[in-house]
Amino acid sequence: MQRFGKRVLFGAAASALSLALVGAVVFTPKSGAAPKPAQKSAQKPAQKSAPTSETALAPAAPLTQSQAKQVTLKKEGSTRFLAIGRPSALRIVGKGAAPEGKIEVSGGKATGQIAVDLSTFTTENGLRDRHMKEKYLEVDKAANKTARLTIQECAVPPDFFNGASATAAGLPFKGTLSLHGEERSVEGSVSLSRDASAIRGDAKFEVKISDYKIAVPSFAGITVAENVQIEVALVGADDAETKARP
Amino acid sequence: MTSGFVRGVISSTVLVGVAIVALGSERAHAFAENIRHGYVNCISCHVSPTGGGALTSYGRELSRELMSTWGREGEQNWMYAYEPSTRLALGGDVRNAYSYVDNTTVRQGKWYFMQADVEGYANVLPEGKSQSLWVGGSLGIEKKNQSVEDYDFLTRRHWINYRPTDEVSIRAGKFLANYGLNVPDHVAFFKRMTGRDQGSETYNAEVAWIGENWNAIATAVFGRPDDLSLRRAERGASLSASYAFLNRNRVGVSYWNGESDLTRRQLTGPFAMLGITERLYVLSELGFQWASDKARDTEQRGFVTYTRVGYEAHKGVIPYVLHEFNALNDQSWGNRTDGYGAGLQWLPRPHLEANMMFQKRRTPSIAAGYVDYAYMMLHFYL
Repeated sequence: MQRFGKRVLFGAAASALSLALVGAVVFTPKSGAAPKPAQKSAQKPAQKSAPTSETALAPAAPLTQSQAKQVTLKKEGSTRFLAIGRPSALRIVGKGAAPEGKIEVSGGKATGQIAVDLSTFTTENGLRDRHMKEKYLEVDKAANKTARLTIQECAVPPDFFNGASATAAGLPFKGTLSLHGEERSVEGSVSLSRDASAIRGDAKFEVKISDYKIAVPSFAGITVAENVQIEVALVGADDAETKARP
Repeated sequence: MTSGFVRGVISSTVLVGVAIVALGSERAHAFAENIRHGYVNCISCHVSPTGGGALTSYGRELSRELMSTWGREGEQNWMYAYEPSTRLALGGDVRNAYSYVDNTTVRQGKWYFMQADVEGYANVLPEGKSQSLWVGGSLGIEKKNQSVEDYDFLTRRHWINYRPTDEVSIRAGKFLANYGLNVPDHVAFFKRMTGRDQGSETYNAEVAWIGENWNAIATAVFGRPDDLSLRRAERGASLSASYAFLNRNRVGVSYWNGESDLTRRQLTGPFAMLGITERLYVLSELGFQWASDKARDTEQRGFVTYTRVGYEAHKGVIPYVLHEFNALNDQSWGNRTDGYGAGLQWLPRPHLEANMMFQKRRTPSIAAGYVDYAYMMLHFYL
């Protein structure tokens, strides 16, 4: 009986440990998901009108026009979308390749263009992937293979490039998205972080697929909601620093 | 034992064949672990709002595309022939199981006939309506006694389900009242010891909110007025609320209050379906029960747990580990049982499922040490 009691205690301890481990895994940000901004700034509410940054070793000296920064995106980024299927609230998560492109930061403003190869998207379901690419996105047509986001307006805190590292959360941006042969205005937010190795961004925005003349996907009684959330994880490097490295 | 095993395999195959040709019917069989793929609600794949039973056309597609190791185009169709429709869902299950116990006093392996049913539901509202009204049920056979070849017809489920919106569901009829995970593990302590085993279907009225994140299901349970000899059939109510998060996880809590001719009880506790990754999942449930025996005027309290962790090693091949604990009677601690083990679930092709599990089980009042227990279930879904 005593041994049994010990086993129960042991079992309870093991269960608690398992739950703690499971909890740790579940609530740890997953790899491949859009990266979160550094914790310090992530806790700050989004400030649409007056974005700020926090810099380490920050002698505040805003970039001038002549000090424009060119950031080339690297392949470590990723693209993700979340669509909801009805009536069952099915979560369809699509993952695609890293966006490519260049972003220029000048005079406290970021502009540039990034592109994503839509044929790289997968949703963990082969049949769904085929339908998505062939029937809806029609990526077999050359003009539809790539989605392009042109960033026209995004205020970057003037001191973001000062010091060894910096973060800036909830920066609103405006631009245009070219998708499926259609171009529409989009608005979203981006969180930035910078350290010695890279500049990272986590951009989020929403698109209404019917705006891009994409038929609302429907299959076997499940219909996808028109609004799709997009998350783009950007990883880039300052061209000047890259060139300066031996 | 070996010859008995072979005889069992042969008789199962024959039974499956007979059931395919003739009839079938029966019980909720759902794969809650598919939450790891983003299926946070049952109704993507099942006509029943709480899961199990006849598959929707989407569910059939998924059985081939996502769940089975192999499968040809169209193989997922009902009886390999009927192409799924969004207005008519046909289903059915044939299941046989083998259980094996090896302890100091007995070494026994035995095949059990579990079910053979056909099932069908139709949406009777005109095409194009956003609402739906599903009507249907199951028809099958059950063995009157496992030791003799004597069968009865039965309908385990028949219900009518009105869905005025995507989120709201109202259902009435005979079905297994909603509570917790509702895993299909026939031998799980949680199912067997809390009266939610096969054959526990009752007449109910159910209202459900099935939202993007929140689910809430309230069920009024009316027992079995069609068969008053079933003295254990409970009347009462159940409530369940759960929340889906991070696209492939759901946690919730359920409450059951029921009374039969023999007992009165309350059961409550949390449950969780966690899709840790696209391949790794955890199903876990804990139930606290307060029960009283009307005839003996005795009371007992206790708890029961179920935890299963599985990993899809290859498409359709899912090894898992399992832990269970049953201590529902605080008046008799020696009757507590705990079990741990490992199993393998394999869905080789659409329509076919095999589930093998080996467990070490211990009940102190019966034996000092752990005994071997094995279970194998062969499932053919039409």
